[in-house]
Amino acid sequence: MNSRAYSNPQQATETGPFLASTEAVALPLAGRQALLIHQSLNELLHGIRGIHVFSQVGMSKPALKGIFDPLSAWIRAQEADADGLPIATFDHPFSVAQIRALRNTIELVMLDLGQEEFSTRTGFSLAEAAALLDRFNTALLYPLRIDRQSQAVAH
Amino acid sequence: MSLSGEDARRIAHAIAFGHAYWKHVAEANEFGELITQSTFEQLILETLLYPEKSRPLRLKRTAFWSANEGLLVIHNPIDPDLGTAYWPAEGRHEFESLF
Repeated sequence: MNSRAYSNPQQATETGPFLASTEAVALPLAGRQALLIHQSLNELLHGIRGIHVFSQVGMSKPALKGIFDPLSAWIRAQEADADGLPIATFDHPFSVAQIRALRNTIELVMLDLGQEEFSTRTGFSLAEAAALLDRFNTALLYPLRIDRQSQAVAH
Repeated sequence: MSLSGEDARRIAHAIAFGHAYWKHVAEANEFGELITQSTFEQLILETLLYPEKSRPLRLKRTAFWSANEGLLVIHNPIDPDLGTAYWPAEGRHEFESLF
């Protein structure tokens, strides 16, 4: 869970329910999650054919490369555990627009590769990817302060 | 990474007659023309036996890259089809960024 979703918590009340797209959000990622994002970006940028990146993801290909390249360099520089996963935490703030684009990337790659290929091509399960999607959605919806534990759905 | 001829033939057959043919050849037409499963199997076999590059990935998977064909084969021993084979949009970059 995020310890601090806003760089400036005051901003939530000032700008309404939406996070400014350029605002930095603290979203530390376990090495496992960082590698899953990297593998999903690799599929989007280099693997899957026929994607209209900007319209389907909400960010241009060069902008996504701007996330992918430093993440790739970070992963290659890390010590890995016995499963080949980076031991360290990737603690680099993302903008709201980047989180939204990463959320869209993972969803798109999950749907394109599907049950048959997601694990073979990325090295992760669809369930792990779904959990990461949930984490991104939680971060993006942080301004709503949804209490998922106690708020029952009324029908 | 090098495979024995017997292993390579077994893997190539499983991949060519699994989901990869329908997904990447028949539906997506990544090769550019419709080829038979036997032809697909032969392309996979040549990539497994004579890759330009190959390297181990996490979870006992192995990637094989054929620059000539633009074909990437991933052997995944726990997959029912033993992996997949496809023509990535940017094959060399895809291969080099796999973990």
